[in-house]
Amino acid sequence: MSKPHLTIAEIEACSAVELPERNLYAVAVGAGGLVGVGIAVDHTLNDVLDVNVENNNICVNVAAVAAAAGCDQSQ
Amino acid sequence: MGEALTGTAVPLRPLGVEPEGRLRGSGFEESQWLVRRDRQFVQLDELLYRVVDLADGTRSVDEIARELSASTQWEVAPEDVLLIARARLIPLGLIADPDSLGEAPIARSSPPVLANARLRVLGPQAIDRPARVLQHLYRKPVLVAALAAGAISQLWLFTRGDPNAAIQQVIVQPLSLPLIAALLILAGVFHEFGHATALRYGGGRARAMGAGLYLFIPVFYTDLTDSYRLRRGARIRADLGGLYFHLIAAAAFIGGGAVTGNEFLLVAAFLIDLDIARQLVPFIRLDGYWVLADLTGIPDLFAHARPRLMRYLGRASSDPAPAPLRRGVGRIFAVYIALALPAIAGLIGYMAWHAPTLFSRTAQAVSARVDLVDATVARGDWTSTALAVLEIMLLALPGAALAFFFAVLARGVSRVAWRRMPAASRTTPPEPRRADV
Repeated sequence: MSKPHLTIAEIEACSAVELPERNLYAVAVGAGGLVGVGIAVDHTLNDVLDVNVENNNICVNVAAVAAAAGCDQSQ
Repeated sequence: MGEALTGTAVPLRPLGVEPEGRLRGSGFEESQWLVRRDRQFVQLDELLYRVVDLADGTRSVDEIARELSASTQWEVAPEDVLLIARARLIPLGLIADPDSLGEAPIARSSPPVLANARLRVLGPQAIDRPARVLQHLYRKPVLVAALAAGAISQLWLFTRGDPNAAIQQVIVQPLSLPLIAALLILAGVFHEFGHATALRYGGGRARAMGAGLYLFIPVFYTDLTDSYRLRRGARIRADLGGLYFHLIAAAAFIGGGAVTGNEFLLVAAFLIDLDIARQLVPFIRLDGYWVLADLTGIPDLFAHARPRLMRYLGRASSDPAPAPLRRGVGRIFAVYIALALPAIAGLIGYMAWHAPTLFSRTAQAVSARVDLVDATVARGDWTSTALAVLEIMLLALPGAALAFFFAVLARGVSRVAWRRMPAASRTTPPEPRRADV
């Protein structure tokens, strides 16, 4: 049995898809953002609140907190 | 070829174009085939692929037609081969253009327009050395042991660990948060090596590793384009390799935290778990997207969605009809597209809605840090200056990335609008069309 002739419609119907580069991403913003938050928190804790940890007790410099909050410490 | 294509002409693939065989684990009704064009793959129907395969510079058009008639279901005339070459393969850069005087230009589709800010850090050789060592982690006994260790450590983290105590300890420990951030960055790099190593274990090679922006998200990336030619199991292993290495990193942190009592290690492990969950979201090209693509056997979901959507919306397109999917795969794909489009639109809408707040708060925070830089410079405290500058860069990153995203989006929208304008009203030539998300 003879084969069917290839038609123009069949040629035009042939599909071709250009596949993109396959880059697998891992989100870095969480880690990067955390660096900023971490440094900012450390600044806040050390420079403003003046927190110290001694024998598992957290000591907060109340004067520093009051100053940061704009309280009048004389009262 | 320096002569026009005729029956006696000898078609030739350009340098860098290589047939790579059948797409394995395909979700299409009929077999699909892959051709490597320089650094990119093109997926073809069998007829187009056969012509590319036979166009090796040793056969004339007449001979190619005879071989196609003998090996396919059709009777193919030389005129058919000429039409295939002229209408389909030369425009794709898969057959050299006989009318061009020099080397045939290779057409390239641009990288996804919203993911084109990338900085390559490691090349294939630099990646291959560690991957060669790390690939033992994919040997079955090691894999089973590592997954068991990962599962046990996670169970311990969520049953015996005390998250509140861990977070409280982290907050009051100076430098613990930057330490966690550093660990997460290391784990992210390890994640990328998980992909590259899995690819190597399956017989492929990663081409690059680096950092960049995907949409508006700062990311690490690994180029696993070589995995298109692998069997489905190897592709899925490469897709999941990053999560496997992340799980190993989390297990190491949990073990370290349990032994030493350093709670920040447990917090780092918990944050890795959140990263793993985020990676599985299939609506943008994170790991879950590629896992779904390979489970369904559709090499790239978005690349195959566009022509289908155009036809569904009744838009005239010069593109040929997309290759039909197997019935079950077609249903899954339709559900995926129905969910992905509103999800992506919702994400963009959410970011647009919150962008003014983000920009405003970023400006305030950066302004405060600039004042800090002034103060630290004035008193000669260079360590604090460096830290403040680092903070400024990190604080500005999300806002800058979002601004970049919207700029690229606006450019894409303006191009679409330009293409739809009546030709008479255009005053400048169009720029080349680029791929979508």
